[in-house]
Amino acid sequence: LGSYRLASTGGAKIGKKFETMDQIKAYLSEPVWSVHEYLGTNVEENTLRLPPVELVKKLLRLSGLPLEGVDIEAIQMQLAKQLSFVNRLHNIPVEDRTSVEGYDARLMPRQTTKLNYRMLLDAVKHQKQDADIGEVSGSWTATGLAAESKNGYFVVREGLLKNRK
Amino acid sequence: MPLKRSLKQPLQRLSDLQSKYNIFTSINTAANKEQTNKPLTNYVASIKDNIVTKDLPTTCASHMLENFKSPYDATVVKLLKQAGVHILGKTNLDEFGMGSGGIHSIRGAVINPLYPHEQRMIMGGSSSGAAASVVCDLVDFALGTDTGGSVRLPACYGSILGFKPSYGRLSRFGVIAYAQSLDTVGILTKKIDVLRKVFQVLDKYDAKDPTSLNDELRGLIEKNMKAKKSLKIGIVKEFNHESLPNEFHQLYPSFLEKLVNLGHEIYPVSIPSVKNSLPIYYTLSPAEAASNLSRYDGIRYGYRDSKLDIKDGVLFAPTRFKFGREVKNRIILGNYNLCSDAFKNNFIKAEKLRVNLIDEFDRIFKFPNVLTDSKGNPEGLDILLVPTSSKLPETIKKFQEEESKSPANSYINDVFTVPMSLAGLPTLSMPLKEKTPIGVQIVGQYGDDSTVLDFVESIS
Amino acid sequence: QVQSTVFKPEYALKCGLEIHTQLNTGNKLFSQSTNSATPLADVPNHHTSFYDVALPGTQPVFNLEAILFAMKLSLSLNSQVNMVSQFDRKHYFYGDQPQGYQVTQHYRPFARGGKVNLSRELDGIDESSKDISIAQLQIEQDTGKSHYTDTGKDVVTLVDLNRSNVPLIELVTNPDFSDIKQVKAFIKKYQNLVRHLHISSGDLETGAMRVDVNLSINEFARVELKNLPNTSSIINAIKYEYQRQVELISRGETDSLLEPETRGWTGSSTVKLRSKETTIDYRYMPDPELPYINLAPDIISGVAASMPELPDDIMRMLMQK
Repeated sequence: LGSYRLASTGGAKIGKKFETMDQIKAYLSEPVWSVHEYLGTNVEENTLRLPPVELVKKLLRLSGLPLEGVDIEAIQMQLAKQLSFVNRLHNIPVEDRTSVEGYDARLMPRQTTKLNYRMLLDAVKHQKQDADIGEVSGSWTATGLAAESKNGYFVVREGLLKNRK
Repeated sequence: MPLKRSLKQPLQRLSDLQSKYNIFTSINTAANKEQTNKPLTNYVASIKDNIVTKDLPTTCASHMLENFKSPYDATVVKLLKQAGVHILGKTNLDEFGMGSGGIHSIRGAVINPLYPHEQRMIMGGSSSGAAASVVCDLVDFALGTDTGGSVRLPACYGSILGFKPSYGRLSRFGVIAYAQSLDTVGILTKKIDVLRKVFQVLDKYDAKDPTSLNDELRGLIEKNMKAKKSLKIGIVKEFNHESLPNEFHQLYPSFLEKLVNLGHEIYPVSIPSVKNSLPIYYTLSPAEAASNLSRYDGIRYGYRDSKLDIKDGVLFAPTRFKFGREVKNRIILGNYNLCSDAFKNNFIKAEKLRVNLIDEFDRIFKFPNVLTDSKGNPEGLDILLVPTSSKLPETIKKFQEEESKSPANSYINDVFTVPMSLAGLPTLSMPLKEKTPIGVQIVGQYGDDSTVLDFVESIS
Repeated sequence: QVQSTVFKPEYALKCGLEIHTQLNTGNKLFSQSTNSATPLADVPNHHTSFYDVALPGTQPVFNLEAILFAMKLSLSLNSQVNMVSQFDRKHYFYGDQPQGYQVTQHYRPFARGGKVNLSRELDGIDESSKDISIAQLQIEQDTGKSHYTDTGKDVVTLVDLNRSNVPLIELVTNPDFSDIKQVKAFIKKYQNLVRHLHISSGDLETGAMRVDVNLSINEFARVELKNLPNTSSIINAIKYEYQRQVELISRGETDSLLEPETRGWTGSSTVKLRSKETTIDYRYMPDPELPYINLAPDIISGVAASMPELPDDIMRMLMQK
């Protein structure tokens, strides 16, 4: 079943206009692919490759999450399932237009207006502080929302600094 | 016309619906100021609780922001207030917008009001409370957010309209980020004319949002617009898949027949890259989320552990431990994707495949894309039709069971909605039948929101 | 001991610098809150916008004045300005890092290349002329400031975010320095340059300029020296570290020199801060909302024409007269 294989990209195509409702119904009644099969969400747990414990611990540290009192095995399994899904990306070929740059993935103009010297000087001259978003010095009390503060400072209770990793 | 009765909502009815369906995270008890001569005077709205408001708390349905009150209003909230809208309350959601069931909230799951509440059916997420507030006629419209389908899926499950405009059209300033390269503000309502009016009020450039579509490009889009009576409509082959519910197959052909009778032309179309959408989305969005959620450390605002700021040598772990399970799962996956080893294989690859997807959409639409400089395909289509959901709402219990088997089971709910999020396309989910949780999405080219709205208006 | 350090040719020193320079733009980098020129006199957290404190829902808006300043510096160093550059996020948790990441330029920095010429004539180095080449220049945001207080029982840090989001330029040189005189001369010259261009006070004492040192001997692994508050600590730290490594090498105890590490300066010695295994993975990610910096060619000629004559040119002209 060729259509279950990874999609080749680049082949966006419009077909011939439907002339009758029967044509449309026939088109709709042929299922093209199975999302579970395609994304490997129906694989058995025992066939998954678990990420190593050390990696999970590293990720917890990077995530600012505690290492103690957590079910590492459950996280391994969870991550393995997520990865079996997202790692499908590895086998999909990227269509080679002149050069596909990741930069173009964002939903902003691929060719932004170029900043020229006049625009630059203009922007420098017309800077304005907005009190509505706290930009005017002293227009709000930054520590007012904090659970703990001292003499206008935010407070971090570091415990013993030497325990830091 | 606004719902007159919702203005003086009998408090009893509101609290009754709230206790049944768990719609709001906070309710505005202040009376509505009578205003005149504003574009949305007498309209009542709800705001999803990941959009900041000065007058009501903003919690993201998370322990991390329990009791947090923002010192400013999001731009979209400001615009609504200026237009005379009365804000009834903030609505429940999946924590930080992460989920498709509307069940991951510290306030508990939202129950779908289309069904008797004893059945405890899911509303769909993450704008679950937003949809429920509209379904119950408590508001004229609701603001939600849509990153990968979060407005459209609950709108479908509530049998109402859910519109995700083109990315960058509505300001995100004050919208708490989940994944900024995809986040959009969306509108849920029962009536297309209400949707249109609200959209007009919010559809403005905002200098505070660096991704806001600028006036120059808005002008260019305007210039490209052409009013047309008969549309070329595409049905995407890759969205034809086996798991669509029978009820959809029953309703869809007569909907299409109606369109043919109205003089529209229907075409088959193939966009192979849409099949890659879910792995692309679940690579990029958790990575951005992991990054965005690293500011929640308890130091400057929000929840903070009462004793410690460091544990096991990990700074802020005692506080960040309070993120919900689904959020933690996505943070861990996101950090995996960002780690130097995986970055190239996963993140960069996903970005490139996203470019491929955008380019493929460009090839089949007639309307030009002002972001990519695509001139538009002269033989191309005006809109696409895509089912909104591959499933009907299920019970909360069943949804939880499926999700605990594998996170991917709930990720799959996004299969029909995510491709348009990746390309930033204006997409409106509309019910195929009244009070029935089956919807179809009307999809336009980037920037061509008005064709989508015109079309829906013309068939309503 | 430090004073008597002798640099021996059989233990070749290779050294590079990373210099963070605060730009004295009127406002901060991604908000318009005041970039205070008198940080010591300020009330803590007084110059902080909602963005600077990383409140939920806030977004960065780039202050283009930083481009003007970065351009002046790049041109005076003969660096190649990238016509398209971008901002990236560098992630790590710290009390004075409110977003949990710093916005910097990693994948496409503002400028690359360029050099600073040192000479016997103008800078008093031993060689008649020596070029220190520049690897890259990037625009980034500063962190807040932490004040440690030790109550005896536990350590509490007081955090002031007035400095959070102040624009910085990070300049990275190649490891071209081979002795202390060159390092000293470079720092002086660079300080003089930023003052001359009016882009920074260049003061090490106030932290407006901060210098980290990368150092290696005879192709052993690179050691990074941090927390060097003034020129004398920079010089003394290099001397101490050189001496320490020479002793290890001469005793054949080179195991600890095979992996890169980061060391701090206590005022009298260098101490290990972290080694490679515990090195943070910064998870650089392209910022998903800041637009790329896209420059028109005329910006280079425009800024170049507005620049004052450079200090070296003035000196040479005076000396020729």
